[in-house]
Amino acid sequence: MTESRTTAAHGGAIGLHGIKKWFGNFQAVDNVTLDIRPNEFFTLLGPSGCGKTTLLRMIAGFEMPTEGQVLLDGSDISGLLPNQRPVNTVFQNYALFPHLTVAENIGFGLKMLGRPKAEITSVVNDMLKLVHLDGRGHNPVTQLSGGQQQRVALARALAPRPKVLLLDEPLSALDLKLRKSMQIELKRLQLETGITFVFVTHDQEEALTMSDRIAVMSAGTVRQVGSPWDIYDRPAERFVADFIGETNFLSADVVSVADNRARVRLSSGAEISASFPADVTPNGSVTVVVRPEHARAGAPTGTSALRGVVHDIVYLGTDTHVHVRLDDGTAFMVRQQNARSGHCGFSKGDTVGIDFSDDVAQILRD
Amino acid sequence: MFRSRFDIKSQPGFGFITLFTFFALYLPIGALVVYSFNDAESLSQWGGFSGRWFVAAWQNSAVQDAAIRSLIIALWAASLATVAALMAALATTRTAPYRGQTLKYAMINQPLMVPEIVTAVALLIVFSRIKVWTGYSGLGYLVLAHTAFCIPFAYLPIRARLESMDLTLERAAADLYASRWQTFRHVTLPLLRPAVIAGFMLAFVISLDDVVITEFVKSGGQDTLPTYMLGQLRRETTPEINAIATVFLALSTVLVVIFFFINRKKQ
Repeated sequence: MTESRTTAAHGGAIGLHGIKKWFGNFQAVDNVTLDIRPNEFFTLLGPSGCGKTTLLRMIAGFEMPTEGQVLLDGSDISGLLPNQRPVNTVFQNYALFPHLTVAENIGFGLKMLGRPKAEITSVVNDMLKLVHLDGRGHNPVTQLSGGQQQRVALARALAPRPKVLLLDEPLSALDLKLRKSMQIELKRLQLETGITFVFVTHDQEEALTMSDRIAVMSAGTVRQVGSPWDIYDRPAERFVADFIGETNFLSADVVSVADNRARVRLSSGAEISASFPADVTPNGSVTVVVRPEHARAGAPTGTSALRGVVHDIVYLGTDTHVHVRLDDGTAFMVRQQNARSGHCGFSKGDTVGIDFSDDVAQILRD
Repeated sequence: MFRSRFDIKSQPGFGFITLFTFFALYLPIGALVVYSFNDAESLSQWGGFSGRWFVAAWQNSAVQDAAIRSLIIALWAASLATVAALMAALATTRTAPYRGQTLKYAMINQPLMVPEIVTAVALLIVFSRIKVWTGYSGLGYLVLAHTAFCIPFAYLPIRARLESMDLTLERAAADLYASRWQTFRHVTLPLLRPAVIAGFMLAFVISLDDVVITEFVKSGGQDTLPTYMLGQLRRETTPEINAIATVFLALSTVLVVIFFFINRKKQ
C-alpha cells in the first residue's frame, strides 16, 4: 500500500526495449530489454566494457540508442535531450562545478528550471540536511573531502526531484570504510525520497548490499535479472555464478525432473536434488553449482555426497577455506565459519567427505 | 647525489650562459629606460637625470592623438578578436573529430605563419579597392586588420583551457536542465574566464605593438603610437620616443603582472 502511494509521488518506471548501440564497428549494447520498476533500487552489474554505463547514458540522454526505445513511465523519451528528461545523474568523478559554492551546486538544477529563489533556498537547505552537510552551503566545493563532494553530487542530483536517479559507479573513488557507510546512506536516501535509483557498478558486494533487483551484464547483453538472492543463490548460467562470489562447479547427470526440482547424479555416484532456471528443462549432462558456505566437510562416511583429499587450508579470520581435490580430480572449496577459536579440524592430506543440504544446488543453463 | 649530478644548475657553463642571456635580453631595455630619463637632446649621450621627455611626450598633441588612436584600435581589435577566437575555440574543441580539422587549425593560426609583410601588402590592395568603392576611410580598416592578426593570439590560450576542461561538467549542466545557452553562460564561460582575459590581453598588446600592417593600411593622419615613433625616427629624433617606449614597457609589464595574478588565483 505504502509502496503504491510513494510510487505515484516520485519514482518513475524505465523501460528499455530492444536497445542496440554501435560505436563504429563495436557493438556496446546488444538487444537489451529491461523493465525497471517505479521506486526500486535497480543495479546494472558487470565487468568493465559490458555496456552498463552506455545503458545508463542512454537513459540520461547523453547517448542515443542505435536501435530500440527508452521509455519513462510508458512514454518514449528516446528523442529528448538530457535537459528535457526528468532524470538526474550522479557522475563517477562527481563533476561538481568548481566555480560555485556547495549551495549553488545543489541549487543549479532548480535555477535552470527557473524556480523562484525562495523555493531554491528552502530545497537546498533540506538537501544539505538530508546529506548531513548543514552549514556547509557557503563553502567552495573544491575545499571538501572526497566523501563530502560525493554527498554534494548526490544532493545536487536529488534537489530537482527527478523521477529517476542514475548513479554511475559513484562510490569507486572512495576508500573502503567510506564506501561501506555510503552504501547504507544511499539505500536510506532511496527509501526516504522514493525516487527510482539506477545504479551502475562492477562491485558485486555493492550490488548485493543495496539493490532490490540486479541485472548482471556481460558483453553488451543482460545475462540475468533478479533479486540479490536470486542472483547469488540461483545463478542461471556460468558467467553469473562465476562473477558473483566464489562457487564450485560440478558435472552431473540428470536422473529425473519433478515439480521444479531435478534429481542429479554426481560423479561420485551420489544423487542430490537441485533447482534449475525456470526457462530450462534439464536433461543429460549438466553443470551444478554449490556455494562454498553451503557445503560441510567432515570425516568421510558412506553417505557423503562427495569425497576428496584436502590440499590447502586458508585461514581468513572469520572463515577458513578448505580446498579439496575430489576423487574425480575436480577442485572443490568449503567455507567454514570459525565459530570456535583454533584449528579447523583438518590437515593437508586428510581424506574428507563433503555434504550439503538438498536445496543448495543449482543447475546452470548450458 | 643523484639530484646534484643531473641538476642542470651543476652543468658546466650554466652560470655564464644564464648571465649572458639575461644581459642580451635586458641590457638594451635597461638602457632604453635609463636614457628615457636623459636630460640631453641626444639619444645616446648622457646629460643628467630628468623627467622632461615624459612631460614633453605627454604634452605633445601628436603623441596624445596617436596614443588615443592606438588604444581605440587595440580595444576594438582585442574585443572582436577575443569573441571570434572564443567561437573558433568552441567550434574546434566541442565537436567530434572530423576530416579537415587540422586544416582548420592551420587556417585560424594563419596570421602566425604568413609573413606580416605579405598580409600588409595584401590588405593594402584590398582595402584601397574598398575605399574607392565605399568612400569610407575611417579607423574601421585598421580595426579589421588588427582583429585578423590578433585572433590566433586570443585563440591559443582559450583553446588550451577548453581542451583541459572536464567535458562532464557541461554534461552535468545539461543533465541538470540547462539548455545549451545556459550551459555556456553558467558553466563554460565562467570556467573559461581566465583564458578569455589572457587571450584578450595578449591580443591587446599585440595590436598596440603592431607597426608593419598598420603602416600599410593606415590612411593619412591615422598614425598609431608605434607608426608615429617610426615616423619620428626619419626626422630628428629626441629622447621623447625613449620616454614613450618606456611607458609602453610599463604598460605591458602591468598587463603581464595582472595576467600572472589572475592565473595564480585560479590555481
